[in-house]
Amino acid sequence: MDLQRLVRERKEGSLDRRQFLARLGATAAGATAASVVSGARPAGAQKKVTVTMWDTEPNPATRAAVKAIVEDFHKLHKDIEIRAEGMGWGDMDRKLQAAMAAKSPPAASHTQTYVVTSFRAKGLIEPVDDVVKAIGEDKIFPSVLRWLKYPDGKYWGITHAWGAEIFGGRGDYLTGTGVNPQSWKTWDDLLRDLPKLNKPPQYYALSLAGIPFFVNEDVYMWAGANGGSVFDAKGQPALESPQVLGMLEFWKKLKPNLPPGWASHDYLETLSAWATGKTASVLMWGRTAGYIDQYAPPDKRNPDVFQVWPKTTGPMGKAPLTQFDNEPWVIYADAPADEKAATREFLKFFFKPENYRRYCDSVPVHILSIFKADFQDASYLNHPDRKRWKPWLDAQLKWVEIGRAHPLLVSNPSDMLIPWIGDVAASPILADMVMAVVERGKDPKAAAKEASDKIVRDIIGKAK
Amino acid sequence: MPGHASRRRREAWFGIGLLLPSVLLVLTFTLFPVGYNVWLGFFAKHSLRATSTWVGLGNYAQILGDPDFWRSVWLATVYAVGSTTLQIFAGVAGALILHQRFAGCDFLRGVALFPYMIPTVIAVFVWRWLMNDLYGVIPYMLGTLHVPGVPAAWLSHGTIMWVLIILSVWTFFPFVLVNVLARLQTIPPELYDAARVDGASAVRQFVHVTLPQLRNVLLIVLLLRGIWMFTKFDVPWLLGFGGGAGEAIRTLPVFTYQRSFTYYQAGMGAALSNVMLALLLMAVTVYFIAFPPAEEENDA
Repeated sequence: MDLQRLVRERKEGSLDRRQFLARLGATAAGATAASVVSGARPAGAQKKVTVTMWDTEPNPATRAAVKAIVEDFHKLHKDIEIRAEGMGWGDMDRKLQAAMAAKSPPAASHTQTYVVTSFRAKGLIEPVDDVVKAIGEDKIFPSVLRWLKYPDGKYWGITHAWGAEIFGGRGDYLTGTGVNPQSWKTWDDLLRDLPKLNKPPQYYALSLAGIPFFVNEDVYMWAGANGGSVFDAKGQPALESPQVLGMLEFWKKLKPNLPPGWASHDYLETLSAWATGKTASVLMWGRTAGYIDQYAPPDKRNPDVFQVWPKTTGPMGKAPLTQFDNEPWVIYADAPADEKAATREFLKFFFKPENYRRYCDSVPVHILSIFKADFQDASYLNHPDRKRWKPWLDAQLKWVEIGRAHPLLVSNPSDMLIPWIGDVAASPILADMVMAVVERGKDPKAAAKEASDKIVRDIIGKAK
Repeated sequence: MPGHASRRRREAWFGIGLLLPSVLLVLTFTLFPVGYNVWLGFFAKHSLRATSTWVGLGNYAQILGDPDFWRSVWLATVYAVGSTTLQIFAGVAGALILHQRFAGCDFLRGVALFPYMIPTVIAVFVWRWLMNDLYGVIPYMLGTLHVPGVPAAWLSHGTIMWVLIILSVWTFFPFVLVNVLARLQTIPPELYDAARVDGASAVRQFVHVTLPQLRNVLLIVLLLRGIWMFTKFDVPWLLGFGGGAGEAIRTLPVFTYQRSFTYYQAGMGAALSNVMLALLLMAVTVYFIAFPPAEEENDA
């Protein structure tokens, strides 16, 4: 019974209102059912697999590179659709939490190295040995691979690109100060010379970020540079150790050389402050080159002005330590099997040299290739940005070669196996400890004990 | 009359049928989340895992013994009381000015709403830039004018609460202004005529005519803004990110958020939000005892 006939019968009076409405409903339901049946996939047709992948490179250049790689992949795999979405770290954390609580994660995402340990301990991710082997285990920097290979002999993630934190300093601010940063070896050397580079309110000697995530970075790096760690061999907090207390005392001595509002500064603010000449030095990454090109006077956009200065060692340490940006792709265990298989195919394609190079070139001095050979390859090294910022590239490579670039919160390699390391990193406990000492004048021992108690009560205690 | 009864029954069912969608919506989107939150508060649950462990009142016992919780309650109270009081002062003052007729007053009425209309994230980031110690316009101007007693950094532990309050007053006072202005425009002018005949000065007119007429509006505004500021999350979070100098503005909503999403303690976060609801219910009860609803004034 079609709609026109129904309407006609209603107008003619052969159907009352109720009959008309009932038959109209039946007609609509029938039509819907018919459309569903006719639209159903014929038996035997190949099912298209849609894969969602979240990464943490939302900048336009990288998005364009990823889009191009995905499009090329689609040409070869018409049965797979890759939905690659880029977002900032903060957004990623929230989205992942919501998705995982609902047991509906993406097929794969970027994450922090230490998070791999937590996710692995909770059974949330799967090994990626097949991907690593397909790419070529021997082609990748050993110091990149080591952080993702666990005692079970399996790789639980594959690094999408790496970077090492470097200590940047303004070469033009050294004039007339008598300071030679290249001679610095120890914290005492640094503390002796920083006041000479401190000219408030024109500029301050050192820029540090006060947001918890970035305070955590400095806590573990300086604890490691002072021969200690945030955790002991059993994974319990070691904040009351002489090395960590020494780190807190060091921080207190740095404070007069920091901008007065440092505790509210975000990481990106520290980079722009350095690029615009408001601070003489900063802990930074290769990405900062973009800020320099954006904000610094044109005649200063070079590594002679924006130099690399050496990181220093604490009185109880043997060597400085830097942070290793070794963020991996991980594959989630709760994703459907066909999506996980498609993800593995895509990752193998992504890391093919011709595809991967496009990705790395999108942020040339920050998204560094995991392949050793690239650093011997003129076509990689002669990229205009890599050529211009070669001292920055060399400094990062040196950190990797000497093995003193460690992932976040990993002062000692064994820290990687602590299952709650990611939870400590996400909490504000360590940053609160630093603020209590540096900003509120609390005794370091008391602040360290309070932080230790919180880690034991709120994180380790809850993990059991 | 069986036919009549049958028709009434049909109409009753029809009425129930019409109500059903609304009932379902309320159950699904209001009662279920609240009920689930109360239920979740009795569990230890990691935010990333689907499993949970019954802990009874364990979360509540920990909350009540945690000095950080009480500090967050104190900070939320300081923020709510400080910002609500100043919003009401600024809103009433602004409304009294804009109630007068003068050249450009219609334009100003539109402009006055501007802070309330812009997205919170924009407002907060603009204020972060304005107050930044390295390149902020406000510290620069105060420094240039050599204003004594100005802090070296506004966004630091000692002063960030002031910035939060001032920023919130700037953003939310238009809500007070609009409500008060609307009420001012309905006060009968005869009341002022009578006051003037009796020789009342402008101040006495304000105290004895305007304020009593505004009483009900102000009480509603006080209640709403007080609740909203006590539960306000976005402004303190975006200003301080929950740490660093932001530790000094870690109000109860921020503390609750951090328990849920940075400590990954979903059960504890649920318990904290239940405590927040209980605190608000207690405050509202005290409020209604202190300010019982008055009879509507006879405006005629």
